[in-house]
Amino acid sequence: MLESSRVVVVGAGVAGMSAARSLAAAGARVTLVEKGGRLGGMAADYACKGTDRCNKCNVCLVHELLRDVKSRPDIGIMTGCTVDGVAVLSSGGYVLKVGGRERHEVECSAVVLATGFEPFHASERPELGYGVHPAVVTALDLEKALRDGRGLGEKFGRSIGRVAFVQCVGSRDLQRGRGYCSRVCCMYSLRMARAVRHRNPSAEVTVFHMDFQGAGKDPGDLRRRAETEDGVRFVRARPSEVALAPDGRVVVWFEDMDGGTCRPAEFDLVVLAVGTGPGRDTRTLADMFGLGLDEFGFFAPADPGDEATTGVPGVFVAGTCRGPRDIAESVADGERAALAVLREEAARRAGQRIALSLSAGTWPGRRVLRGQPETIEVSSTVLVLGGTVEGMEAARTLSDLGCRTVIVGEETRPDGDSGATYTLLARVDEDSSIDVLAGGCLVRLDGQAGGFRATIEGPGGLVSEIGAGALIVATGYRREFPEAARGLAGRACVVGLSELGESGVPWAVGEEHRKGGGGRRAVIWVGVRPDTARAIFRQAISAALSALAAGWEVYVLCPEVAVAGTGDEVLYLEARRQGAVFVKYEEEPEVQAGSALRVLVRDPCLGAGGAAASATTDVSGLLAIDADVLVVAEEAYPPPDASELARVLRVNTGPLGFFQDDNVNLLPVLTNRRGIFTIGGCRGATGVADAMVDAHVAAYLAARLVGTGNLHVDWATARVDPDKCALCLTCVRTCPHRAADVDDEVRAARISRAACWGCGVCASECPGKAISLESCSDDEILASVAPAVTAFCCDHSALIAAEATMAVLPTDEAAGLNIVAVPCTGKVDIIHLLKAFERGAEAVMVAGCFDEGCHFLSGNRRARLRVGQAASLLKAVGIEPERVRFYHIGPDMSAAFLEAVQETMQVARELGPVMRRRAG
Amino acid sequence: MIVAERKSLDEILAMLQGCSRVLVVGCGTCVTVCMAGGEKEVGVLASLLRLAAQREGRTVEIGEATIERQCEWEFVDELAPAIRRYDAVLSMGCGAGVQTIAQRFGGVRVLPALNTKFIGIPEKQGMWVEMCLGCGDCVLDRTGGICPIARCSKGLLNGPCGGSQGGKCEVSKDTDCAWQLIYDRLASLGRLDLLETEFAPKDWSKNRDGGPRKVLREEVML
Amino acid sequence: MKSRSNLERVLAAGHFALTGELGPPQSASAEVIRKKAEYYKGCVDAVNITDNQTAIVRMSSIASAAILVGLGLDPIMQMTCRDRNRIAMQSDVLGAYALGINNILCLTGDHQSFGNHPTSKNVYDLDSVQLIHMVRTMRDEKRFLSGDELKAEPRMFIGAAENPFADPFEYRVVRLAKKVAAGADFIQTQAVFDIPRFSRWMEMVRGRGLHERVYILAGVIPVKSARALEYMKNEVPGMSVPDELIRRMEAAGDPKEEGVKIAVETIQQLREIPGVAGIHLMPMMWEAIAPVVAERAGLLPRPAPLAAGLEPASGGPSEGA
Repeated sequence: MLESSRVVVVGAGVAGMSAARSLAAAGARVTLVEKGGRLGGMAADYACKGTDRCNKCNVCLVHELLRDVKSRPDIGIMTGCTVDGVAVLSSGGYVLKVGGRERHEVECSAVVLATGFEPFHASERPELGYGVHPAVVTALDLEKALRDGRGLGEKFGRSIGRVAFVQCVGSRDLQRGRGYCSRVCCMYSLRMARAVRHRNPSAEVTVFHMDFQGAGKDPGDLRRRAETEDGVRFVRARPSEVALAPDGRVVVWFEDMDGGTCRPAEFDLVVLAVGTGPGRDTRTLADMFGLGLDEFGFFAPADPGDEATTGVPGVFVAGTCRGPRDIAESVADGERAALAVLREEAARRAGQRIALSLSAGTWPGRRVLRGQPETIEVSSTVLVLGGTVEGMEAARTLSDLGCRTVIVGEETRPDGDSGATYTLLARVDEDSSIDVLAGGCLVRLDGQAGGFRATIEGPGGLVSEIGAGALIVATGYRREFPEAARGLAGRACVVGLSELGESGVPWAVGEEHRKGGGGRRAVIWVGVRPDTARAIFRQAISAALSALAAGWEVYVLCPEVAVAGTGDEVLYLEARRQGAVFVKYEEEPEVQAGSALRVLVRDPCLGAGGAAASATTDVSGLLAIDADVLVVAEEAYPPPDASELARVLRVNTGPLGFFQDDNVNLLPVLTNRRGIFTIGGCRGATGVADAMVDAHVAAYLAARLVGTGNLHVDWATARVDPDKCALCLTCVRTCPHRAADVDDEVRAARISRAACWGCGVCASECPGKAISLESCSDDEILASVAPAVTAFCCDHSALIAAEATMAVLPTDEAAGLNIVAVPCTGKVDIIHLLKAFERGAEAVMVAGCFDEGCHFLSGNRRARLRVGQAASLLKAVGIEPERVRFYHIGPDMSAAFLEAVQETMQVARELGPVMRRRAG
Repeated sequence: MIVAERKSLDEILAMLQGCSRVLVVGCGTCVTVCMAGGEKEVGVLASLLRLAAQREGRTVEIGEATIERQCEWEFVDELAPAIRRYDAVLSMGCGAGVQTIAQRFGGVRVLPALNTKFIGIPEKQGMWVEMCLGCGDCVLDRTGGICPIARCSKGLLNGPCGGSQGGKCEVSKDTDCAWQLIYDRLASLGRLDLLETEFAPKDWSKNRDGGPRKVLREEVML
Repeated sequence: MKSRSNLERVLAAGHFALTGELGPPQSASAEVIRKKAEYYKGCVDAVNITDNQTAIVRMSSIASAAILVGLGLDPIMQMTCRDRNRIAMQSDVLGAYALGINNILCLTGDHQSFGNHPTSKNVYDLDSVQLIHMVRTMRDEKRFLSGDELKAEPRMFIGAAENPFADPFEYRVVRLAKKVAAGADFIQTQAVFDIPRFSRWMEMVRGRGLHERVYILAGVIPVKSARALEYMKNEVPGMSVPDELIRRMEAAGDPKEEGVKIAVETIQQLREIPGVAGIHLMPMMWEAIAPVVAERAGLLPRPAPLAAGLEPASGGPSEGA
């Protein structure tokens, strides 16, 4: 597309690298300007927090990005450079003055600012003792220590029996101008706590926090595991001081919930979860480019519907420089900024179709081997299932990118429906490249990415077939009272939060039931999952504010105050200032409905102030609120037909039944099948803003996949030898990406080159040895097996660690270690393991990703099963089973890899050669 | 399909005692599909035999071959050039395959590497279940398409015994009571009347009538 | 009369019948049988002799039954389909009758996996319905299963078992009807602990009019302990034991006495159910309790047996005829 254009991406952190990779793949010449001496930004220092299982920290995405960006010749990299000035060209482009060791002028048509964040300086809160007591560290210090791999005790010069995490240091702190939630720290600290416990199983972890802010995939699960598996204790308090104890430990002083008295607790290590603030350069760059900043100093979006745009043509923003977000969100943000660049370019070229192309990137499991290049003709039509707002937005975005779309399904309305929805509807109606098949239902899906054939049953049983290159699932979610409140649905004076609409409160409901005299009283009950809460809580606060404005007395009952959205903390504080009472309950409230509504809730914080005089309480803190209206925030559930649709689509669903694969390597909109995307409510994203991000990212990825009508495949894929195929369907069943099906003409299995991710799981499972992976055949793998300790290493995790390890391994040990790279441990066949021994190996190790963290979704699980099988087979022929071993190694865990290698070598040394000397 | 399972390595090693040149032969049909004796399993077993010998300091020659179907003369013939170089042939085919090779090559020791289990289906990946006993006299028309002979532990024809409880067989909680399945299915088909009439004693002559059963089709004979 | 069975005579005369159960020893000792038989003398109308029950090898039911004949008791020879094919079973029926055995109870038989020879091959050439049909054909049509003529027919009183507590519940009555149609003269049921479920089943039995075509003897087990009940509830397939019964046994000061009480109460309740023609007592290695239960349930004395009915078959009626 942008043959002549150059795009400059400023900042080589996660978002910047993601934008650069995406733009380069779309054909742009990209220059990546980084102030620091190396790529990766803050995240390059993060440590993988895998324990035995993947804890979904996303750090491996950073390593992937680093490798991709470094390996692309079409991305120019300038490290140690800053943008010092800018001049606008008459053509609409810019000339950037880039300073470093040398000065350059870079001409470009667009700039993406991805300058990242600046962590709060813990020393600004001297009472917490950072920099004074060695036992007080920041989370970033702990990251580096974890990465080091050595014992934490060694690192911090003491044993760490008791560890405290102090949350919200420099977040939700209005006094310091930081009246916002940093959004990522709660999950981040829990992952870190698990990692600490994994290394020091005797450690006791306490988290001092205000509220639990869930983000990412199934945050409730991480919290449950931290509590049940690691015994992490949560204390709802904001420590006021950290002091040195005589024995060298530190004392955390915190205000007890039930009395307002200050209590001490001793710890060996205190970890401060420092918040994220705007980067140091943000203001300078904002002035330079004429951009707006929000009240906290982050880049402010010009269009709330498309946050990558700035209102200044050719200038875009991505990542944490526009507010706190996690790694996955930053990757998505980078993609979205790239999309925004392309859309503007397309608009400039007035409808000229822009060529997009897919690189192997973007999909996980992507640093794949080179295959036989081939260009496949694909359908550039995209089928959107579900006429939700996000579905319509995706269709409209695709239309901008030159793709025809067909929307199947009735349109539904989003939360708080607004004029914007109707505008969107009208635009979809007008758009000639969008067809709408109202009332249709997908009953069958054949084919693969680039060439799906969807069978749609329309109204009256009319069946039609639609060919599509890609599918976007946008069927929304079902809103229902949460389980604890389900019995209240339909009762008088009880309304759902979503029924209130934008205007706020149908306070008339209370009107009839209003008691004589006294004020009117509303209870708003927000008892939803942490991930839902992020979107719902804001609506609840808005409702509270409008009720307060109408003179009502307001109680908000919730397990946690969820304020991770931009500006939410300010709204929350405003509601409190105006007199709304927030009760953070631990036991579900009880609603007694006689002639009037009475809500009973136990307030664990009672005494800390808050309860209004009009509610009666007893000594145990049980609050009885006689309410005129009870507003219940609805929980989001997958639609009833979600599991059936998932079956038809052959996509995985997550633990809650949404179209959201739990695997961390999948960006939220991706599924286990290439070419099928899930966006918005149906994947569990309940907020409109999140749904819009999804719509843009999915549309962009779909367009990159099939937008040109040609898909250039240059990555290695699995190939079937039809003569050997017994049609046993093993590949059809075991392919994690559903890329295998049956070729009816040849009467053999066929693996779609467009859909195959190249993991090799099918090749290793095939009982007829009819499948091979290009560039990684059995012969090639076996050729690299040598008589030494052999380590099969996953290209996405252990191999990266191994490369760093080999650099420091003593030569004699290195000589005895034979590393075999595989795209995924799923490619390691049982035969490879046995043959390694046949060829003289004394011990064999397989090293791959953490459980549930496989870049190909399930390859590592298969590999573990095979290692177990190999061990028992070896035992059956008299060979010690401990000679074959499996290790979980994160990409940055070179120390752990070294340990694993040494352990394996030790086994080899102790057991000696497999071959016994001839008797006699 | 025919479902089989590899014998234990102990048993295989014991039958190969004294053999130093062994040809492991796979079959590309049923046992490939049920993952017991396809090319992959041949590779695994051959490798294990070599390792077992290495372990004992013996030298062996283990050949590998997989043919389309061990139960067809034409395919078995492909083994002719090499077979006599070996002390023994270890067949990874079903019982029919082992016997076909043995019959074709007089004087060659042909040994079974598998236990042939049953005619069944892969109920799910990695789990195969018996469906048919090859009784020679199908009754599925009267039992809702569920075979009581293969799937009832006692092969009863006139309904479940007294051990059927909660849909499970008295023999194992992991086994569905075939008669409960039959009852439910006939109920859903509205054909419970089929269960009222008595099944006469089965004509087992169609199953075992002295020597191997034969199917003869004169019109297709040469 | 179809046979010279004492049980048939008692039932035909309209008496509420009582049968007992005797498990042969896992040895060649006739003495054990004689000893156990003593308990039943004068206290039941007929005694079931089990056939390698739970697939554990014991003295054969034919031989054991023949010993009982010698003692003047009326044996009910049990025959399962597990261990014999149709040839062996017909031959055994003929032999049994020749030894003076007048009752046969036709059963499917417990699966061999429960017993002490789990690796044996089962037969199940016939199932219990087919076995009933075969014996009836031998008796009434004087034909073997093959259709060949049979000169001196075995005049057996034919029994069958039914388990009202197994699944599918609705099918249980259909299966009973099949057995009746095949030729069952009497039915002995699985032990009843769950009276409501048994009553529901009996309702269905009466609904089909089966109680008028076959004598139904309800099974009763006197239990010694709560543990025994617990075991039956959890481990024996096709048993329904209400929890309150287990609690009652647990709470009892003298569990054996409580067990007898429960048995007696059960018998009394069963007697009230229309269509129940008698009780089949299964003391499960506690034969000594049979007279106690019979006494306390008011079932004694039993109608006196006909001496003629208990003569060895050499003087059998059909032979004489």
